[in-house]
Amino acid sequence: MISVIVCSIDPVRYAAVEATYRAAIGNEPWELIGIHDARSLAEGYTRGVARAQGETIILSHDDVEILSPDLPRRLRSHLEHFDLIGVAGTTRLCDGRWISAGPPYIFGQICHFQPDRRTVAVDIYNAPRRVIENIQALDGVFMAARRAVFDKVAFDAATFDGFHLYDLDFTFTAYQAGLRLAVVNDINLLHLSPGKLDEVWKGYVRLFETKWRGRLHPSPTTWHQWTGTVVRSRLHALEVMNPPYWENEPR
Amino acid sequence: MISVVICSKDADRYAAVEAMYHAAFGDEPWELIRIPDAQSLAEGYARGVARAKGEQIILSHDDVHILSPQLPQRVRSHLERFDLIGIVGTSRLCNGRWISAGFPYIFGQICHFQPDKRSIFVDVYGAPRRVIRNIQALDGVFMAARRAVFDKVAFDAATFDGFHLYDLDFSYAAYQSGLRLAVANDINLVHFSVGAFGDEYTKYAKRFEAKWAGKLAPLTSTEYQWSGVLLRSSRHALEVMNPPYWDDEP
Repeated sequence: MISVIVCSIDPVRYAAVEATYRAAIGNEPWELIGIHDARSLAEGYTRGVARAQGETIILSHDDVEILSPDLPRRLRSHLEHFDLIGVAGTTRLCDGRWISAGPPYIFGQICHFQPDRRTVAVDIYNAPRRVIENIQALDGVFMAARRAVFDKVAFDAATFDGFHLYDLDFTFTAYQAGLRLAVVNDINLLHLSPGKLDEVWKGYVRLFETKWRGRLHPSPTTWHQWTGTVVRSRLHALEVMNPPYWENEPR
Repeated sequence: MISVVICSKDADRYAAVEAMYHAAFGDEPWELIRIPDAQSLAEGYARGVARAKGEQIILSHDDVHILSPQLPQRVRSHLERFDLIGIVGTSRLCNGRWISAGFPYIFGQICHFQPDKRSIFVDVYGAPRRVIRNIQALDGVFMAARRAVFDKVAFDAATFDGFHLYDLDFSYAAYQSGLRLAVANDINLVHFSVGAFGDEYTKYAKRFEAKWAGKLAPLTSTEYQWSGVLLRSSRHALEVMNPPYWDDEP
């Protein structure tokens, strides 16, 4: 069974995210665990995981729409090889932003609606392969793990008592504990809100960098950009996010 | 032997590029053919190729610096599998700019020095593999071909009688005639100038689009950006341009 855990205080968003997972998981056995009063995402996810019955556990934001078909099969396939997966992350964590290392150390792809709400912007941090291994940290917009991961690694709700950096901390802890992390480029989603990188976020970045001092890499770059494209539909986004060179290229 | 053909009317640039290729080839047999008085790049390269003795022929701008080690080995290795290679290009040519198709149809990577001449910017159009096949057109900053390519495909010096679009036209003609084109992401270079896309470019782009009307792919995306990274040295650039995931396919 797949357990999907969502922390949400917004009934409209929660109904929408329930519908997207219902459609994406189809006839497979699954459960949705809603945490509607989380004091922090670390605390909320911890509570959700304790209630979850599934062997596969998805931790998801409440403002996503799954675009990819075959979600259960893709999850099972990836979690045969990896302990913890996500849709965006890095092979070289430099600081409290997973994206800081720049190319070619950042991976994954994600869609956002443009302000006109009709066209879709696809951010492609890097997707040279269907699956990127040797990942050190993941973004929390969508993560999935084997149940056993939560016996080995806990959310640090004492340090990350808000809504930021819980994801980098949890995944970097898993990496440091020797678990196998991956970015899966064939699970594609639309994120309905951009991240909010405000003063509160900066405070948690400082806490993160203090906690992991000595374990983070120096950043090789002072400025970088990633690939992006604007497309007209979800279908077109899926086409762009699943390029032909995954399948048929020699090395 | 590998022949390198360069059109250059600038003595300083030529001396620099000659020294650079001399170092890149080391003890390998090679020759450098300079065309100092090209009427156009199509005309100049055609003249250079006619004089070239090598089995592999490199067509190079005069303002590049190769960063990669083992240039002759890499060129020979790629030309065992492909007829014509370059360092940037597209698998879907839409118009007179190879880059127009956007992601995921543009490939290759190239460096430019920043104005401070110390830091270096790497444009990564697409480098998911060491070699990208099924390429339709290449940028002319650096191309290499088997000698036999020039028996099948000619530069169109009548239409492209300036310094633009000769490259897209030549490589697209090669693609249209069934030759195998590729972008080689493991041949890395610094280009000391950026492309000029003014009125002169537009004039030749129109000629190109008229010549190939009906063969070009429709545009699918008009808004896109590619990946890029600012680095402190060419050593860092080489590291970024040769990522570990080329070799660790699960």
